[in-house]
Amino acid sequence: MSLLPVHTLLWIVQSLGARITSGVQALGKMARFASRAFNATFQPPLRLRRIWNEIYINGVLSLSVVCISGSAVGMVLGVQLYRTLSRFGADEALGTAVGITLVTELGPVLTGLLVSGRAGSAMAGEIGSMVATEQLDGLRMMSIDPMDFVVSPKLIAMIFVMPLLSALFIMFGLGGGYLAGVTLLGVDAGSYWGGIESAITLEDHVAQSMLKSLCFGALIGLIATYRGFHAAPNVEGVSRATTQAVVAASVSLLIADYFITALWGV
Amino acid sequence: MHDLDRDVPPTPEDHPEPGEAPAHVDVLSLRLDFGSRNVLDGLSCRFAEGKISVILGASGVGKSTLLRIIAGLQKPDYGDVWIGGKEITRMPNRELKDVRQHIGMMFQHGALLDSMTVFDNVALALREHTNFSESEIADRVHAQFEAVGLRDVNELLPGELSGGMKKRAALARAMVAEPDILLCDEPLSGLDPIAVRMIESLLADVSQRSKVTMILTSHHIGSTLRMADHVIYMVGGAAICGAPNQLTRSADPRVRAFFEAAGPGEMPRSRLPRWEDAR
Repeated sequence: MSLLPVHTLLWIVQSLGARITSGVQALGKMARFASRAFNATFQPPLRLRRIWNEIYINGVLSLSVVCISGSAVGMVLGVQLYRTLSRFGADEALGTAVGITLVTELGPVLTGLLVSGRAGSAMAGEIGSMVATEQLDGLRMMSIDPMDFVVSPKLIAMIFVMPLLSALFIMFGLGGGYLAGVTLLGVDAGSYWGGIESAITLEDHVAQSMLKSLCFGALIGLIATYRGFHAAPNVEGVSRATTQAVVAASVSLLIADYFITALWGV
Repeated sequence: MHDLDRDVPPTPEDHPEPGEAPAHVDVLSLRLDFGSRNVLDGLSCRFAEGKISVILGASGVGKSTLLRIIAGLQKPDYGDVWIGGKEITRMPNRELKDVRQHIGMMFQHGALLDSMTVFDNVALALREHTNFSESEIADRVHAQFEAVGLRDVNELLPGELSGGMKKRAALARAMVAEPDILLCDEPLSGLDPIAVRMIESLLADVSQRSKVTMILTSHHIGSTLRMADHVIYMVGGAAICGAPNQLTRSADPRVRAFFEAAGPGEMPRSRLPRWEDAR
């Protein structure tokens, strides 16, 4: 194998350096944005009407997606885990397996992915179009900080609705698991619910689930608002911001999930 | 500022006065590059208190950029903007917010908040910065609607307004807090000729009634000649300033070419219809 020419190697190193530098710069910008957003969140006035409106848009309007997905995922889990467990004669442990999987992992993660696709993209798109139509500048000219008026209510709403939506996803998932495992495949109903009750603990599984959904809510809210806020002021910029928000939120959510899972209880 | 018949750029102490009025906004030696493109190249000009100043120039020459710098929405690479004796380009955001409470801005496309009704849009600044009761706010908002000729728009969303109505709603929002300075970015663009005359009359009427310092951007020569007390013609990143009749007789070929493109038949301001009659 022949060696790469020096100028090609240099080009590779330069490109890598440029990418790393711009990545670090983007992280720094995002950290500054996050600090400004949280600062605005904890300062008066608390815009209850706007927060309530955002809860409706991001939470209530996501209910059907979350409930249907939760039921479907629960049913799939019921069938798949039944097949695996029954090979070892452990089909009575279906409730335990479905419960732990849903509560600690699939509930918060899949809800996060669903919400980032539905509400996160809408959030980035809305703020991006406000940038493109100078609405944020309009607010600035009225001496109103867009961080306080636009970003903060969305962030608060997202952090508030994520644990609730995740809990709903888990409930419907457990119901779906019951439907598939107990009603269709004949697992004993008492052992299904008993397994869930004995395996799931508040301080371990539920707390981990809550922490994950709170972190995911903050991540989705921050990334979506940041991407929208920094969108180029044109149609292409808004569309790019929307896509980037969903991709970045989904990937960061999965990475954060690993760290929370790995560090939990250490 | 390259004043008429004079090539030496003035210092802040050496500013010629546009008419008799003292300067309210002073722009000194602004420089701004967008990448490799130079937009403002040492531009200086001043805007007289209580007068209508129109920033004129070809599309893409940097008129809106200059207006955004005056509003503090954009930082220049170099240069100062003085508003009421305060330099704003290096001012922290908190202080800038205070300065902006005395400035109203009418954006090119209105910039009304899509998610709010027209009434809430206009009432927003009052709700945020005053202790007025809701009935006082409603009275002030309706007075602005009346002044700009808008009726039955309280519950409408900005998306339900026509172009001309959107401009008028934007003007009502800009004026509701009774600013000292009104910035209007292309208030006449995208309107039919009748709507242009209506908005022109409306702006002239607002200027006359409120004595606000009005700074407009436009590439509409006819309207500029009818409305303006003072014209800032932007070319090559610099400004050529003067009264409308001075600029129309300018010896500078760039200015002459621009004004000759307007054609004959421009109506002087004295013949502009009154706003009440126009609507």
